[in-house]
Amino acid sequence: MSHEVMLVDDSSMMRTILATMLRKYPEFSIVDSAVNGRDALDKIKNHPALALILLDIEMPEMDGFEFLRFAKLQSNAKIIILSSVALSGSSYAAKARALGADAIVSKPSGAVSFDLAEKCGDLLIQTMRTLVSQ
Amino acid sequence: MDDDALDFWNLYAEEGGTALEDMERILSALRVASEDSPERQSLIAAFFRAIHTFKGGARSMGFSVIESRAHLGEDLVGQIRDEGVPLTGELHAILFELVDTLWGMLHESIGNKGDVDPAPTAGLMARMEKIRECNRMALAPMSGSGDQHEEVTLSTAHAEGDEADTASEHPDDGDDAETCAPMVSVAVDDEIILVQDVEAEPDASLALHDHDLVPDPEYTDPHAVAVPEMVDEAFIFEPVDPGQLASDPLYRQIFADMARQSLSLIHEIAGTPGDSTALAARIAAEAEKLLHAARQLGFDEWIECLGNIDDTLSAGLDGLSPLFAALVALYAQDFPQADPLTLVLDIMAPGATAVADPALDPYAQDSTCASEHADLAARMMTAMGELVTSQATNRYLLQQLKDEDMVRSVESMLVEYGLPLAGIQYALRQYLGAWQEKVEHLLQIDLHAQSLVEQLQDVVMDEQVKSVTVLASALSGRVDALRAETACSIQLDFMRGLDEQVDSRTLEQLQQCMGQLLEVCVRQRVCHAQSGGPSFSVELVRSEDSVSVHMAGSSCELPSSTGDLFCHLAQDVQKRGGRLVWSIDQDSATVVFDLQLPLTMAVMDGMVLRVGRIDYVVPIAAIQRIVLPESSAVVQVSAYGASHRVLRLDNDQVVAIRHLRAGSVDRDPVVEAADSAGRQIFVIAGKAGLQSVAIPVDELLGQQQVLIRPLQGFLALMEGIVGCTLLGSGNVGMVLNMDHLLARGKQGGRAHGRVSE
Repeated sequence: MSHEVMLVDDSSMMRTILATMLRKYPEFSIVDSAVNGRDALDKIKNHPALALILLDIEMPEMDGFEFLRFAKLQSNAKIIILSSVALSGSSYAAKARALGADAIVSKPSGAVSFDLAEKCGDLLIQTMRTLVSQ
Repeated sequence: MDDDALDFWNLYAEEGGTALEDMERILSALRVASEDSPERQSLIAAFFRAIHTFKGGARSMGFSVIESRAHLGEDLVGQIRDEGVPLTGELHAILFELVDTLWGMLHESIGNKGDVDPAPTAGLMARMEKIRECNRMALAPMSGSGDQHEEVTLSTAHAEGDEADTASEHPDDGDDAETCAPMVSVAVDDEIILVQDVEAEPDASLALHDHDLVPDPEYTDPHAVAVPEMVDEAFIFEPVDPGQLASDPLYRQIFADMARQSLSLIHEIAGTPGDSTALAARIAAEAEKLLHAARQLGFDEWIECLGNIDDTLSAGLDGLSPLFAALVALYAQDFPQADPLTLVLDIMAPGATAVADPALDPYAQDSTCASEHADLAARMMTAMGELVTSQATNRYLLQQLKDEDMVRSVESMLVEYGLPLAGIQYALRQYLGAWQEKVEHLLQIDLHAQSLVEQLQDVVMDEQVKSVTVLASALSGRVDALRAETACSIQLDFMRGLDEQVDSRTLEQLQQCMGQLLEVCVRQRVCHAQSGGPSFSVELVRSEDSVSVHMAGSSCELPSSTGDLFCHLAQDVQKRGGRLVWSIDQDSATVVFDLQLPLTMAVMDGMVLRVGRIDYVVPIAAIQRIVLPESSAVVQVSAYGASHRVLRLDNDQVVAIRHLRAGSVDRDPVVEAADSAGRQIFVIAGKAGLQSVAIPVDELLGQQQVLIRPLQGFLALMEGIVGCTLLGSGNVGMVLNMDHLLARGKQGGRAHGRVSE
């Protein structure tokens, strides 16, 4: 069984990196991606079986925190905040938790010169697996 | 290089270039945007996002040097965006320098296919770090600054130096580029702190206020809760308590919007003709979405209500009305708005104003002005109705204040707490007496204002309400036109109803519907001058909530195809919330139409009752008596296998008891509130020609003039309810359809039988 995943990030590069990484894991399939919260809000209703949303925070039009609230009320999907600014103990992390995010993961890096999955993709995949099994 | 890697390089180059172009454009715009320009904040936010994106790209490629430079820039802009640090000229210049540097790094990294050498940009990094640290120190909370104004001695300082330098080292001096220049050290209560002061002069003195030192003293992060320490840059949170989410105003707003949309949609679906099983499935799906949201926020009442929808729908759509009414009441209770009546009406009748089919109504264009006029009058009526309601609320509150014996309350308190009452009693009585006089004065003013509004309402009512003769005259003109066109002799006579008054919007709709019926009848019949023409007789009756027209046409040999046209017209009438039925007798060449349309609005004096949690309004004109009988006066009557509760009044009159329920009348037996002696309040209501009924109520809330808006579409099917209104208490009240209630009383009254105590 493949779990439906949506990517929400204004960086096309980050979307591509995540898509490339997740291709190696057939248990997850990316069914849609969105360039900001507003775009994601329009698309989320097309995916009633969505299992996971990988969500950036800093985005134009509607940021990740605002979309998080809508997603929480309109979808059963688990929400992973994927951000380079929402690190341990930060106010971003506290806010993400308070607003009901399910997990927070630092953005993957080293896409070209290093083994992405080994470096930090593992953390993301582990988190995704844990959440879908809950 | 594989395809994936090539994609990444292309994206890195493209996205990085776009982000840097954005940064340049924003910095240029910020140079000319004034300090108090509203777009300044959004420009800074956009710059933050652009540098954040650039940093993310470098990070994704594993270029830690480029990432670190961008990250530092992001920190500086974050201080401006989030912490109120001013964008000074120096900061602006260094951001420009950073963007130039990042351009060079982008090109270099693309050329090298790798990260860049950190050495050439180490100086820039050091300067930026100093500024960031200086800003942080300036923003740090100060302790012990008890005095609001303190004379302090200034001297400019290197932010990271232990010793304060003199102000002669101006920040803009070329060789001072590495200092954090726009800072001054300030001694407050023996603490040395740094604040920004670009205008600082050597040895100057300055009076500082606390707010000069803290950029945004009122700012507190509403979500500043403890978060567990994360391990390895990933953390799975424990589920949040729904109550915590519900305390977030934006969450509540989103839920309110969802609820409003869902209720409107459910209402619309339920009113759609079609297979009831399919409609029920759509309604259940919509309710399920709302139920999910309610669960997330822990809204127990919504969960309970929506959780029952499957059971309710399993019996078909008929049972939906009470549940829907309960949801609407819940909405009004949980999300009180500035204009609750409009809100509830929006839910109940989204787009309820039906649009006539212009193809069927050649006179539709002519009625545009009349329609605008009716719209204006309707809006005025609504505004005035709500004014009256607001005043009723004011009066209710004032009356409460007036009725409260403050002197006695205060005296009791003084006695209770053993204070020396005698010494202050006189002064207190004087003071509270004056206060009470003012309340009475306010009450008088309010009563006067109410009478003025009522006068105004009467004027608009005169304007809004028209005699049915206007309708007769308009239709007569239409008949003349048809007569001239078809050369047929056409007769139209109003046999009953010309003395009735109807609001102009309803009158306009009647004119359109009846005009269309006449058109079809005349045009579909092959008329010849020699054969004479059709004649129509009209009877019009107005009730509290609707107007009914019975139109019979003779000499109307209509082809069978006419039925389709009438079906089309019936659908149009249905859209307006009305009903059209007809019969054609080919043998006798007659056609009979029964047309019913709801009144658009009406104002009436009503008595507000409460049963359970729901408020109802009974027209004052229909109330005969209000009684509090002994419990023994309520008896059970058995007749023809059924039993009814009746009330025996002191004049030996026996009246049927009718219980009230949201969405229905007399559906389930209930036990209303009774006093310690088992007695209960009954409102005896009746009308000429109809048997009276006794309505048991929990509470009488008082008399009020109410503006009734009829229920439209699906909600119009709710038994026994004419419409809704905003009450003085702010609640929405259901206005009872007395004809329906009394007609049931009449049926019950026919059941003569045995009376058992």
